[in-house]
Amino acid sequence: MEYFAPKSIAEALSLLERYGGEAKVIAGGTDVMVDIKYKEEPGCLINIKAIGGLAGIKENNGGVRIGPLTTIRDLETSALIRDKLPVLWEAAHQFASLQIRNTATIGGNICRASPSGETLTPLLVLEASGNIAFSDKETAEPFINFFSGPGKTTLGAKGLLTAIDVPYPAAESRGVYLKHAVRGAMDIAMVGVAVLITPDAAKKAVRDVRIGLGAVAPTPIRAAKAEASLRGKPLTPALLKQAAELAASEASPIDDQRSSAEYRRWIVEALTRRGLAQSWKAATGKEAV
Amino acid sequence: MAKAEFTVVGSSPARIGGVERVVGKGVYGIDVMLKDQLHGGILRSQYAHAKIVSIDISEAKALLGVHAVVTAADAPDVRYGRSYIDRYILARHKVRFMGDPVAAVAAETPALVKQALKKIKVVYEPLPVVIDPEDAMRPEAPTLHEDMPLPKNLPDGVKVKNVCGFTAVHVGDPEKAMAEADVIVEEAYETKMIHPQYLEPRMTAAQVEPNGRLTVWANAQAPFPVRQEVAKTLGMPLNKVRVISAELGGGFGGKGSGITSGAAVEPICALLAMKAKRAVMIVLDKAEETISTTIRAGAKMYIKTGVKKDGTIVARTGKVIYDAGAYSGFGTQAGGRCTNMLGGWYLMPNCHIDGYVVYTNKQVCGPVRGPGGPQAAFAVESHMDSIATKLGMDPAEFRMKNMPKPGDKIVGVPKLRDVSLGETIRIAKEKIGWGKVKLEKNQGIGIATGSWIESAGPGGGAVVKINEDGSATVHIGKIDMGTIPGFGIPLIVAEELGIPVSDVTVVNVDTDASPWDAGTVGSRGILVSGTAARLAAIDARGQIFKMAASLLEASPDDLEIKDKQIRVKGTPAKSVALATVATNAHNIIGEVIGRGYCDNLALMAEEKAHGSSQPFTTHACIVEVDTDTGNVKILKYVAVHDIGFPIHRAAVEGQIEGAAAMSIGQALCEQVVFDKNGRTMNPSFVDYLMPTINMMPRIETTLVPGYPGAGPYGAKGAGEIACVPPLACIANAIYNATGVRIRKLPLSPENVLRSLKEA
Repeated sequence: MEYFAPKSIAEALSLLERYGGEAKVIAGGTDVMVDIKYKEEPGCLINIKAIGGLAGIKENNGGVRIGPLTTIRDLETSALIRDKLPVLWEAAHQFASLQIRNTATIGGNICRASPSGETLTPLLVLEASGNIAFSDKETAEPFINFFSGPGKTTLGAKGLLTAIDVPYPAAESRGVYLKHAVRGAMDIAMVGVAVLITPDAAKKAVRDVRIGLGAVAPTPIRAAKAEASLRGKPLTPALLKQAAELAASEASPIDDQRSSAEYRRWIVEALTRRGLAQSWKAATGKEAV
Repeated sequence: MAKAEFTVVGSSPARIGGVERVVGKGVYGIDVMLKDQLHGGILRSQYAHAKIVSIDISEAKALLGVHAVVTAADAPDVRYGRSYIDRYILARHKVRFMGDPVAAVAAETPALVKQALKKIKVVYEPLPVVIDPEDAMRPEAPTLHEDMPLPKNLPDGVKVKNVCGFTAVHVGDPEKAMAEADVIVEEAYETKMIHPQYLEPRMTAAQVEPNGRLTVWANAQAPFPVRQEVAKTLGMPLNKVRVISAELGGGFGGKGSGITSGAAVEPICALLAMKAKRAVMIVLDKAEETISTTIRAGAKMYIKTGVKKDGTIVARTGKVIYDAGAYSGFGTQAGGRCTNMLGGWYLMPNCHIDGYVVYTNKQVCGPVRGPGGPQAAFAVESHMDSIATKLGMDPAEFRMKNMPKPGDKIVGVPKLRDVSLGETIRIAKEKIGWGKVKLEKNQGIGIATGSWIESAGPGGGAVVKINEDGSATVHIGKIDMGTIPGFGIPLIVAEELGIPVSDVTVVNVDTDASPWDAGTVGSRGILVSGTAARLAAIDARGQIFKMAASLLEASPDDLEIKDKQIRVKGTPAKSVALATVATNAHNIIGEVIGRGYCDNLALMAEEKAHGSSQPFTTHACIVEVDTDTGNVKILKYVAVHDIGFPIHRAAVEGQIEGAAAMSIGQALCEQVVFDKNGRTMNPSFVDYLMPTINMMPRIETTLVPGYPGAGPYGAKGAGEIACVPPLACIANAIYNATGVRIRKLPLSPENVLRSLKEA
């Protein structure tokens, strides 16, 4: 296995251009090192941690720009994230152990593209996008288009995620991230649900709602039908229940050793219902009636 | 016996070696580094059941840096086993589970070992796989062992196959009594395989000495059985094999059954060392450990009980199907224990239970902490609640109604000496707030009891040597894994010799030097080595007194030792330092050597004459069930135990908390998951769900005084019994919360939610 520690994005991109599919990019290493030990060794390892300027959290054009090398712990301890992007903060907070949070990076979590990746559903409901660099171009890609399958993204073998842009949601909006796992934060999520809800001015009807589902499809997804069923309507318990059932029907989970597909659907239903109710209450001060 | 009679016994000084372990300076087996030591690794079967057509090791052998490659062809054609001698150290002809050792390699580096293992070409002819023990018993099931006979004691006319153990329990006339019962409750329960998951990986190192003797280092709970089985499987005389115990980082019975525990890793390593003519060490990785080593078996239990309207139990019948795995292992013993315990530990005038131990294409059953007990108690104690519900009786009251008295018999125990069970129920009810605590919606309260055997198994000895300074060096045959060598033994020896606990050194087991012992298993540490060490210390003290008597011009009977001073009772001014007498002894007889032993025949005779003083326990808990997700949270947990006199109170409480935690893990989340081909789906700690501290309630332990056991000072074994009640305790609390009886483990969120939806 060859090993490189490029000092610049350009150098990293040229290495990716040269080694392509053989190369593995490593940042925090909490997934890559385990794969090297227990699965396959890649032909070449490109450690991007020495590239300057890729870590940090700063306000930028009505949102936050997060460097991909920012650790999960940095997100968790950032007042800005906690204050302005509580849904993302909650995901960072429920992310494995403190030791892992100190090491794992948000860029790694995104590029690993695990359907259960903790930060992904919050990024989807926040309608965040990634800045993606190739040796010959650079684009901004909304994350909703970024994930193409388990472990697969539009980065392909030669792209590098260089920034994460998260626009601030509407000031009246409230949201939650709910994770279901037998052992809480320490486990890979069986189901993760992120909800962001914005009431209308009268706090009667749903102006906007976004529901992200994790670990229940080949990629993290938005529950578009469930969202559509709620928009513009007063949030009644019956509507809430129906939306949760819709969300469950939009999931396409698998059976594995962690749980059955059927159980994952039940949990999507339960967590969506809870997430909507909690967010609505936080946004309006009222229960759904 | 009241605590006040003693100086140190009954107190809780810091564990000897405890600080080193906590700060990471403890020396474990893996820290052994022998001269020119090679790394060893094992090639394991990738089929759960297959014929071995051929094994080609030529490419592996040709790799530079590979010093030995071994297969069954390199080992004597000798099998090992406990009840059935059914297993080779390296698979011959057939493999029977994924993880069965097929070949092994010794090489310069771990990477090279991995590479060489990949180059061994094994051609298999796959055979049908059977995973479920009940399926394996059917006539149409594949045959796992062509040349193993069915147990001789199988009843006539029973048509089964793949059975490697059978136990029948029979008391009175259950058929007649059942017909006369007012209420009959019939249920089926099932537990899953769990792995003991000690944190320290299994290791072994082996080296052939210049004189041809073989030295084996092993982090085994039973070094002497390992010595015996290594000698046997390698065709060596017993006295040519020496096993040195490496310090253990946990075992929980998983390292307790000779070479069976580690799937023969010790003789395989020795074979490599012999062939390579170099020292070799093998360390298993976690996933390899999880798929190949001994486990707590799953059991299916059918249970039917007849009761009178007033709650008096009149009869029980049942059947146990106990999963031995691919080889008999400890299955016959654990399955037999499970079968006996399905009869319960209440008054049971009529009973019949058949227990079948069955081969399947899975890893092998070992003596994991309380073997057979938690499984049986899950069925028995859940069933007790089901009966109470049907009778409309309070579950605790129903248990009290069928409480044995001193002198009564229970299934498997002809006579009880005294019975603390009712007392533990009474205290547990009080501590949990039974009938008093206000439960919120979806909260429930549960109770379950348990018992464990008092005497079963061989005795053992101890040697106490008095050094020149009056300090003591103790040899016992039991290894230290957080058990008696660091806790009880130093206290006992210090008590009897009148010296500080810090003056007692307990030596690690070396089969060339230590007294023989069956191993640190079966809650027998305090009973066997505790008894032996106490008698050895008393023997040494007697010799010291004899020598001191002439110096002090007194009779040995009038002497006592306190604070390292030998004094004439009642005349403290007449004294001599222990060190002085001990030093003098060296000039006369070399040193004072005290000897003691635990005589198992004597123990059994005592038990026969006066009855068994076995331990009893009651656990109680309050849980909250999330009816949306099925998640169960334990809000309060109390464990009330009679373990006789606690020699090291903190150690006893630690054992109880640890054992309860282990079973709480089995109750809530742990299981080894197999696919239909027999592949373990969750071999890593990511997927094998051991509970984290966040899931664990504080276990509030109460020790009940007043029921002395057969051990020293009235102690009873305490290492296993707390594993027995938790499974049913939690299931009963879930029933109380939701009205749904769950009869299959684990009580995981998915299983609970599914049960709620199906109810």
